[in-house]
Amino acid sequence: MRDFFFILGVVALCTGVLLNTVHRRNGYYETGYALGRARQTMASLQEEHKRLLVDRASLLDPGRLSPIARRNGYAVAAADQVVLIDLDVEPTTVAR
Amino acid sequence: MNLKLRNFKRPTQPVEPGPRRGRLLFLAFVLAFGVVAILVRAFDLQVTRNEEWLERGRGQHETQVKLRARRGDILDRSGREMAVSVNVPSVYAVPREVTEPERTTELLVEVLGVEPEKILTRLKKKNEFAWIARQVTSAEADRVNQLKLPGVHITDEPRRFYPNRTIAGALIGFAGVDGTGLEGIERDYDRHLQGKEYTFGVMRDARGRELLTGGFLPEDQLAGSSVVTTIDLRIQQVAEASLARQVEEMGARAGFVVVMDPHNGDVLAMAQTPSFDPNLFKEARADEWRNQPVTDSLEPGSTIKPFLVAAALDAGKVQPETIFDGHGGAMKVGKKLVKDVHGVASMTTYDVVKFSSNVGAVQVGQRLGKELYGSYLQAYGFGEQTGIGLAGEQSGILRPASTWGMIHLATMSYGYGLSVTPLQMARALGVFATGGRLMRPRIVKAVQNVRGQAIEQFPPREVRRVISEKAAKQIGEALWMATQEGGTGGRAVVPGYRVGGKTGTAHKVDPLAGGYSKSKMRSSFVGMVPVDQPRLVMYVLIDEPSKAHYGGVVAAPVFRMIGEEVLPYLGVPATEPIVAKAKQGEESDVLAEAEQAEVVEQIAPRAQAWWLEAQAPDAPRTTMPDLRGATLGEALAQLRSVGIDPKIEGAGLVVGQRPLAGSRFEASESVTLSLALPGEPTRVAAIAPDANDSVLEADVPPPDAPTSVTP
Repeated sequence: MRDFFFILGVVALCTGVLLNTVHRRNGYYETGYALGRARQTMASLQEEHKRLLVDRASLLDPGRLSPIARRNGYAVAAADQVVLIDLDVEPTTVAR
Repeated sequence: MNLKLRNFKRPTQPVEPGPRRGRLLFLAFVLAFGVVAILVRAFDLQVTRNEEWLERGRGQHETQVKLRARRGDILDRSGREMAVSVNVPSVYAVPREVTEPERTTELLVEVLGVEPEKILTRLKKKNEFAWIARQVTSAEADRVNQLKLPGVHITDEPRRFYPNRTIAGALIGFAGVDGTGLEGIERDYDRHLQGKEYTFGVMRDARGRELLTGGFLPEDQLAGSSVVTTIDLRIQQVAEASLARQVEEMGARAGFVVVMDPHNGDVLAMAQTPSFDPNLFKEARADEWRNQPVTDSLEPGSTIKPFLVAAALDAGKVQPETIFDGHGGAMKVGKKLVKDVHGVASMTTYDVVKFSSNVGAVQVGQRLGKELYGSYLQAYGFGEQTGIGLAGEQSGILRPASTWGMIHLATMSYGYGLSVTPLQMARALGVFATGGRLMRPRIVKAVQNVRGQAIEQFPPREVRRVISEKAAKQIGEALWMATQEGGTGGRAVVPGYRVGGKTGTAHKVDPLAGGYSKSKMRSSFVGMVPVDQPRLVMYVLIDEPSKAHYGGVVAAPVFRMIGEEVLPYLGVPATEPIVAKAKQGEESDVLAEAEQAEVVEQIAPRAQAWWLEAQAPDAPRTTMPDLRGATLGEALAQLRSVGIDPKIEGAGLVVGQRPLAGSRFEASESVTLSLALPGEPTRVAAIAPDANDSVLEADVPPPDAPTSVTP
């Protein structure tokens, strides 16, 4: 009887080890799938990001904005509108 | 049965004899044989033929994924994108899978506008792969997908976009369809911009799902680096717009501007007109691809005079108060007669610059002597490459002083007989702005990785001291006088700022007739502002103006136009009362008014016609406005205000519309807008660049230099 339990124990141990191995193997593949999906998501997000960058850059193109700004009445600051603030002096005394 | 497995001692009781024992032994033998057979087979599979089976397994589950790293961006000094890579769809076919080549060709031609003969030939060859159309728009790719043609597929390919279109086109250059830099910064910094190609293994299951097991390198080790230039997009745009306007107003052939920060040698703008859009580089002529402020050298004319006078002041050969004989405006040098436009009886050293006197310059040159003058010209950086790092840079022509004759010294004193590039001129003027130090010009500040961390930096570099601080200050004063009343550069004055500069007008060489052309000129202006603490140095050159030709009339206004916009933009406070410059102010207002009128003129007709018709209550039909170039928001706002909800294809700016602009249609009709990112192909037949259409120019020896040169 003692031998029977001994064999049963050995078989159970082997089965446990094998199940654990299979479980870990499955986990490994699951992680692989997740990484694969993440890589594809990352690539598509990066692509979208680049596309948006081009969009933004073309909308901020000075050659495009300049005429629109002029059309809407915006003008370049006149030279005397640019004032250097002297930090040692009270702002009210330098404001023009 | 009582088996003791834990030891091999003989059993204490004898095993039961008889047929039962025999059967057990037989069973044990069979099992043992089976186990041995399995072990032998396992050994064969796992050890003897291990490689073969591994290979088969890999073939079924593993594939190699090749990642072509993204090309790095080109950025301006504030990090604004000047060139970016984005994946775009390309259409290809597997001809052996195509069932009806004729029908497939017909449909593809309809959607993509490709050449039918070429496509049909490719499809009939039954190869494994054939390109149909590369780098098409998303809308076109969607339409191809919808056709579901057997054997026709879509793949993504990186494509280079230049979002600012023509701005700095020649400087940035362009990359080809395979992502290799072909011109400009794209080519010169290709080594940094190109990323690494990386291959890694990926397992795929029976359903084709990707199973990443080997990991992959982070993107910053793969992607190409970004190049941060010293260009300021806003200054570049102002320079290009001002230059283009003046070139058009003066009926000129071309124009160049270089704007630099003298203290660190940063090139803030490098403009040329005509320019081209690198998105559509095949439509430009090959000679327009050249970055001409760097690749073309020319005779500087009178703009050389401040360099001569500064050298003489530095060498102590003249003093500011030294008086020169004006010779009544004409002076003989050997057999040649050197003339001034307006002769004077006498002049000071500063007056030589202020009045741009050739007679005075020749005398200053004679006092300095050819050896000394030659060594100063070399020290200013003429005759050598600036080291900016752009391919095709010319060094200009400066012959050794030992080979100069008397006439050469004279003509070189007023800017003939040597040739310089616009970049060399701007850089040399920086010597006066920095108190006598020559800086190396810089077009690239740094190279950075995808995370924005600098991996290589190019700090400003002082090349050498050329003149003393005292001489630099003195020549600054002379340059300021040249822009004051009586001077030749009055039109360069930026209201509110003290400007120092020098005009130049040089006859062009006529390579066909030989010698100098009487009608073809180059008008130039080189200057710095504010003259006391310069923030900008600029060189402006207008090539072959037809309506006027004096540098002070043709080129100086470009300096003012740029200064007016750029100095407030840089936060440089005014130092002079603006009311005192009423004349310039008025002129500026007139220009602004003209520009305003021009803008209104361009926009008003189409906008007004559209609104008038759209808002007329009894208009059964309306006119389609020209929406090209508008953003989606702008286009939608216009159309929806009259109850039209258009169909949208693609993303970006409006590049096409149905119905066409100007056509009349009913509000109930469907309206389609096609959008694309700037530079996405629009199926317009490309014009092949004409390699023979290059400009012929020559550097010329001095003896034929005109004896009468205008200031």
